[in-house]
Amino acid sequence: MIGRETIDYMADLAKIGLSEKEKLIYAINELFISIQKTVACMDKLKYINTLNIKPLEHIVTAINVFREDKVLKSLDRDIILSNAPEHEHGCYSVPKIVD
Amino acid sequence: MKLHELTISQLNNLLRKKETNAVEITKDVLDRIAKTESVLDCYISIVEEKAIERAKNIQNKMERGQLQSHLAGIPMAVKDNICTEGILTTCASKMLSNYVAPYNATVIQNLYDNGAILLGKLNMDEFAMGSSTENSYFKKTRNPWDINRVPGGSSGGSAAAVAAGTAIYALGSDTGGSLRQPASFCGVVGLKPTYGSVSRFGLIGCASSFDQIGPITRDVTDCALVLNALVGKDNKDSTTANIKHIDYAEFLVNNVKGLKIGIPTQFMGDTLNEEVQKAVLEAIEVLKRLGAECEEISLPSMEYVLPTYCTLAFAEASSNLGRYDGIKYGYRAKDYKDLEDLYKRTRDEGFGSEVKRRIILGTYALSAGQYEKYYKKALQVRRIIYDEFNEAFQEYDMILGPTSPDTAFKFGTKIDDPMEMYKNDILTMPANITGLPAITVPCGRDSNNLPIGLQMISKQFGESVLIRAAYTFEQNTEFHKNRPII
Repeated sequence: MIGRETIDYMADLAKIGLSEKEKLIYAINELFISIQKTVACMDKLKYINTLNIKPLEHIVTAINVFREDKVLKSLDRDIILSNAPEHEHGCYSVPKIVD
Repeated sequence: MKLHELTISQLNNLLRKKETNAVEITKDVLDRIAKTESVLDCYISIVEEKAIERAKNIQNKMERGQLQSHLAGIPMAVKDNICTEGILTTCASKMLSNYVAPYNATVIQNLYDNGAILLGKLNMDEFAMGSSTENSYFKKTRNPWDINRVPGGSSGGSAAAVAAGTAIYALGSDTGGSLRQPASFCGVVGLKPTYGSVSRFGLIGCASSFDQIGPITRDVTDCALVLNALVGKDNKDSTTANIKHIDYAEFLVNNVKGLKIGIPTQFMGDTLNEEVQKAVLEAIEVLKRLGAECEEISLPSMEYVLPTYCTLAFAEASSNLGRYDGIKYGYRAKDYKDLEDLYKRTRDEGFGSEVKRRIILGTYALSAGQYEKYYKKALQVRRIIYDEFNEAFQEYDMILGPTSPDTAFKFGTKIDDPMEMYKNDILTMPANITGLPAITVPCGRDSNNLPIGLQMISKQFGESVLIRAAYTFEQNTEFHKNRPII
């Protein structure tokens, strides 16, 4: 059974800060129960015998799809930056990372 | 009949005879949108001026003989997770509510090259996560057959628009049934192609080994015509298959004599709505009378479809949605202490609760200590399901059953219980798990006048079999002619 601490840790790994509202809902178990129910469903997988079964990693039959090493046209920088929340001098603006 | 009530092939016929033109058709559909949108809420964005301008341009080209395609001059709309250059592409999420796509998805460019006219972007469940379109950040789309009920999801806007006449055809996407289930709920035709048939370049990813774009249309003829423009190898999507070009319209043949059809007992179980079961059994009798051989088969791996799908699709989605970090595009939180806090607040405020739930679950399935138990195990079970379905196709041409266990449900009845919502897609998920093609066609209505869908699944790249069987069923019934009254 997946516990609350694990759910908190997974949210942290996925960089999702659960809001105060969700922590309250959490306290009355809504998100917690729904996640537990889904994990209980996923747990049914353990009952199927998969001895010597190779994982199906790719549905397609293509292997190593390469192309010629040529420089192709890319997208216009200004158009790309027009979607940026903040940008300056042709760069994305982000909080300071390195002290 | 009004122009917006006609099919692609009917409109194409009128265009060729010069009894109408692209501008007239486009204006008629826009007029229909203006009259019904306040009730149905199918669209997130409507590009009225662009559509009329394009219609004039397309009409000129048609008059000069520069466009021969059946799709030329026909107005359509696409699900809002497909990139359209210069137009908002939001995935019905706050996270992308201001995102203007800088390029066209390959499918969009293909349709444009065929003279299609884009009317706008259609509502959906946020990031294609949902089965009712109730998870949209912007609005709830209503089912044209009963406005107190959902249109299905996640391509609810697409299916509702085609049913209501606010788009002649639409594109949806299908990850676990997101195109077929709403098509079934809205009484229209929907096809999920074989994985790798249609380019995903420009489709905002949900679960990359499950997603496919497909047509939602009024009848099977239209489905074949749109499919022709979508299918093909694309150098921008390395998962597309190098298949020989087929004209799917050649398979619009009224003949299923000798077609061997398997009906899994697991598709017709006790959880099925009685009226859905009755309609599907009657559909089977129709096909038998037309010469198809129908037999019961067993697919025991169906028991593991839901846990396999939940594990793999959510894991893939958690990885795909890791890119939404408030840095390069999309929503960014206003107040944050540092970079880590920026990420967490942005993703908390930008995503809805179902998206967050799936990301957390997917992260869990991939996390150290759980990966072998869930993700790797699910990949093994995926192979078991894949092999079992493909073995069935050694003997049968097609597998058949209902598209959904039930008809359209009322708003709010399943949104608070995610597991109940996921179970809506139990019959559509296998086609995504296995990558097989599947089509839904209307096969009746229940006592509440709600459409019932019949699903046909074929072997890999077997769309031609689906087109033939679905067309035959359609030509020998009247269900595709039904239209909701709005």
